[in-house]
Amino acid sequence: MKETKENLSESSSRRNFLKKVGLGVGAVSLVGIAGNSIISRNKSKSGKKIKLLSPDGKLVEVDKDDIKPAKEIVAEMKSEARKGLTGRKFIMVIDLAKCKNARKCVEACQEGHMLPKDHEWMKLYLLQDDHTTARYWFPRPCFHCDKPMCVSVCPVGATYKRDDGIVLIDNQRCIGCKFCMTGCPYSVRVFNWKDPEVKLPAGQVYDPETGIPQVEGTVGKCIFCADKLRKNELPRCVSACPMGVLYFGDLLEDSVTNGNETVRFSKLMADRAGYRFREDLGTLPSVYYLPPTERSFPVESGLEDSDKSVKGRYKNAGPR
Amino acid sequence: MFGNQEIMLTEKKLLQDLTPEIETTGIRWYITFAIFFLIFCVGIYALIQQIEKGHIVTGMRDNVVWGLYIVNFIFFMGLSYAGALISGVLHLFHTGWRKPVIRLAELLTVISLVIGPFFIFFCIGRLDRLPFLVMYPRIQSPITWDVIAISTDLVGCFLFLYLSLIEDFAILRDYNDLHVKLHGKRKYTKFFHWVLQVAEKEKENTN
Repeated sequence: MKETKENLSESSSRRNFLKKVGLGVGAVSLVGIAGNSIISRNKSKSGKKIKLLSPDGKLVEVDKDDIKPAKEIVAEMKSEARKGLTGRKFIMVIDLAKCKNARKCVEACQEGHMLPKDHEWMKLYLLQDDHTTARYWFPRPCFHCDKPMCVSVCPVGATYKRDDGIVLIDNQRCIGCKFCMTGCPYSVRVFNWKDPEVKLPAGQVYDPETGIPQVEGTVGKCIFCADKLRKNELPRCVSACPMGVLYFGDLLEDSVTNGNETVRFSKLMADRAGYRFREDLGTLPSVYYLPPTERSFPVESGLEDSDKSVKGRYKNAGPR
Repeated sequence: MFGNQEIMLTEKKLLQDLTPEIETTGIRWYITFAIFFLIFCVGIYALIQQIEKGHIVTGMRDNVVWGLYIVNFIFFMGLSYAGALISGVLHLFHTGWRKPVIRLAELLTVISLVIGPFFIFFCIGRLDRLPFLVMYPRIQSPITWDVIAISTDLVGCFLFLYLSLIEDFAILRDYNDLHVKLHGKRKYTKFFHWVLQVAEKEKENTN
């Protein structure tokens, strides 16, 4: 918004400048003015055009000299990202009966947030509650707790809880003390132990809502794709899941969707005996699970299809 | 200086007990120094590696985020609290022989209070953003309380150490027979005079 305003004011001032030039030259023909303007353009501008995507999604051509450092925009983005979308309360429902460890959610997340391969915001665990019960796949995003322990231990306010229930991290504030990682009872947070080597596309600036780029020595985690939510789209993992395991929605609207079907959240919870992981901790997560009953796939199918490195993780999976 | 040979002798003995290396620097001192300096250099090399390549070289991962750093920090904090406890208890009970022990204990407290936080600095991912701890403090965070508690503790213990060392500084200042003084341009005396300005005033008051 601000950017377009600036552009407008600049172009109007340029017009004024051209008018003045025209007056100064005096009685010259229209062709002369046009010629003058071309000359003055060439003098002050580099002449190189760069194609940019405007905030409303249109492709625009901008002169290279017009591009200014976006410090103010970053500040504005950050303050917006701290507020969040008011009047919303985002929730996720994960249907454990459908998950077969396709890992499409992990891949989509890593691609969308430009994460290195060893950096997983969405993690897939192989769980078994008891010796007598069957194993099941357990996708685990950030739970975006309503009483987040990570937020209360942060010494600099780099991680915060927004109005819409999302817990975000400000990469440029984080000092990397890792206290939030020890505070989180779900081991959701991941640390950038080395430089993630993110190649930021030209013109893109850091936005806490995308989490791009990840910075060495700071903490990252699932952010419910806050940038997508602002555009009224589903998070990347939800739209990537081929099985429709992940449902996303709004608690205040009482509806969740996995892209194919939209269901009433309260009814889904009641019908399928939904629960929250480790509710005894009192963190009040925003992510709900549906128990792995009447499963669509055997748990082994998820192991067969996965890579060797991924397979190795689940060697010792089982009850403790 | 005082004209009393006996006092001079006891002072010399005291000085030799307190700082035996201030007069002579023997081969043993150099060997000890070399060994510890070597270890120090290894640490510096490791630190440079960590700064260059990132915290990945520590071998710590997401499940072990503080590792040996926090162990060392807690170890030195524990040492400092032990020192503070010993000197505090002795001071409270007015034990007759407390002064030399308090001196030792307070020295231990202050030195470990200085060394301890260094491990936190090595542990923090973005050392360049360390001022944020003071710029954007959140009082409910335990780390903010670490900052407040350790800095207060350091100031208090340093004052206590200074108070317990005043008499020793006075001895060092008055002792004219120091080897270093003979060819050392009296740097030490100047330092002790500067350190002792508070003690001088106290002396005047008591006299």
